[in-house]
Amino acid sequence: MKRILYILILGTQPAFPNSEPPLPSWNAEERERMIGEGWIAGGSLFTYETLASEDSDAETPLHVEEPTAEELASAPEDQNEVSEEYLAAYFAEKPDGHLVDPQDLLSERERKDLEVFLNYHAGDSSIDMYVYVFGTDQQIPGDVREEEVVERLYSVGKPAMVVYYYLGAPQRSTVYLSPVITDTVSVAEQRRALESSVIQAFGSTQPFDQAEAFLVQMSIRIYWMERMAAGTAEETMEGIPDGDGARAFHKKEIPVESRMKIPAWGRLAAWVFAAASGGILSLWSLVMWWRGRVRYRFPEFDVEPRLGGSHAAGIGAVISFASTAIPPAMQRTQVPDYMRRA
Amino acid sequence: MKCPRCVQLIHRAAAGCPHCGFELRDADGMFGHGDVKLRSLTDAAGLFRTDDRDRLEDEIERFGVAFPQMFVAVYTGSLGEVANLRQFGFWLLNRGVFEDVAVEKPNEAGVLIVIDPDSKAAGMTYGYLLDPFFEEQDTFDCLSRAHAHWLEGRYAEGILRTIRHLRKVLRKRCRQVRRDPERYERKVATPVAVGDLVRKIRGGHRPANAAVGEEMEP
Repeated sequence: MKRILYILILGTQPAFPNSEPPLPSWNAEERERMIGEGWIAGGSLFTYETLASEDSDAETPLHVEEPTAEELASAPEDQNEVSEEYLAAYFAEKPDGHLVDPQDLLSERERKDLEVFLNYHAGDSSIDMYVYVFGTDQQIPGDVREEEVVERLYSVGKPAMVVYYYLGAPQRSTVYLSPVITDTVSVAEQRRALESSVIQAFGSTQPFDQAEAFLVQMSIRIYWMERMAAGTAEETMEGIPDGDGARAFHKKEIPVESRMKIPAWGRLAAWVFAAASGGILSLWSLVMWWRGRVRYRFPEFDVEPRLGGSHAAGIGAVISFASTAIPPAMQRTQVPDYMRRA
Repeated sequence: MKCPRCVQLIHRAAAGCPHCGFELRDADGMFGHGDVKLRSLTDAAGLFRTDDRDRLEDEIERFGVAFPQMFVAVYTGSLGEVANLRQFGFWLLNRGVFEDVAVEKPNEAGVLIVIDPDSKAAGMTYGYLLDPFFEEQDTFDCLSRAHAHWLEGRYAEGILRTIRHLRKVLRKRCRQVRRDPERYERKVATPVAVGDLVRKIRGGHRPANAAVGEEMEP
């Protein structure tokens, strides 16, 4: 009896959620009035007109009070701007190193690699390169004038190029030269150097690799700027190839930490060795050439013919190569062919 | 000087071997009468590829340039059951007419290398011009250079080694001859008869214009 009761209860359960609300029923009076107003049943389904929203009041703008001048003055900083806490580290004074990264955007190893490169460049070039590293989307606050920073910090001392480099976005980079060399290196040449470096940077997808390629190319371009400043460059940088081709122009290329310094005696020994080798080679070539031109003639003695042979009776050796077990040393004593072991 | 058949020493101007009686007519009986036309590189056994032939012909030509009196020839062929390389070499250098050798280089100035790939043996024969200067040991040394190559079936390479060593030996011998020509002349000179002493003194002098030794190409 209980089982039948459960079945009846379970059978009736799903029926309640599936029960639909009752359809609206037209009032005859209402219907007459709507038809009289021009209403057509289902007419709204065949038009492209959207139905008017029931609560059209929502589209009306709200009346909100505008912010006051005080509120605007105390507006929060742009999220992409470099935080104020780093500004002093960036722009307050001339940095000790050539790489300025107070936000620690680079890893320790990356920073060390770039510093090694920039130090090498500084030792090799008369124009230093200072690199300020920023994030991909970061903005330098508007109250910091980049060129003013360069004029203020790099007007005295060794000429320098200041690079504002954005990690992962090399196309946003900007460069500034010390005032002492801006006259000799035109803005167009600076722009070409920057474009060339950006192109090189885009050869890689990794931010650090991009930065490295950018700085290497810029270092090469600085070499040509040096020559322009010294008046020894006869051509503009427009004719300088990019990438590997440009490196061929560079007097010293990418630094190699493990570069061996050859002492003077070593260089002298290498020169002596090379000269001796060349001399021996030349002498050997001369001897070979001379030997190739020598002609050998034997005196012609009268030899009486023998065994009836009019031309030859000089019987030389015969050797067998039938077996590796019988080397030539074992065949030195010549025997008639019928006694030879094949 | 040895007999091609019994490999016993024979004396100068022996018409036949005093030990076995061998002479050229016996070889004619074995290999044929009359002259045989062939080239300085005759590959009757078909051992060489085209590039092998080119290399060998170049080497043969270089030999002829360095030694203007002489030529070297190579013959490969199966000699069958009657194989006797010494007799065949002796017969071929006497009966062969080398078409591509200049007429001023007679067979007396030739060196013939014969290879029989069936019996796997090789021999060397030379003309009367080299009789005073060349010995059996020299030919043995030349052929020994090729032994390792021939064991592996690299016939062309072996022949190249042989010819190069031959050039080396002959260059050395040429210098020795220039220093002491009498030593080599004595090896082939006929025994002095009692009545010939004056004639020997008179005829012992070589003509002044006979060029001997090394000379540079003009």
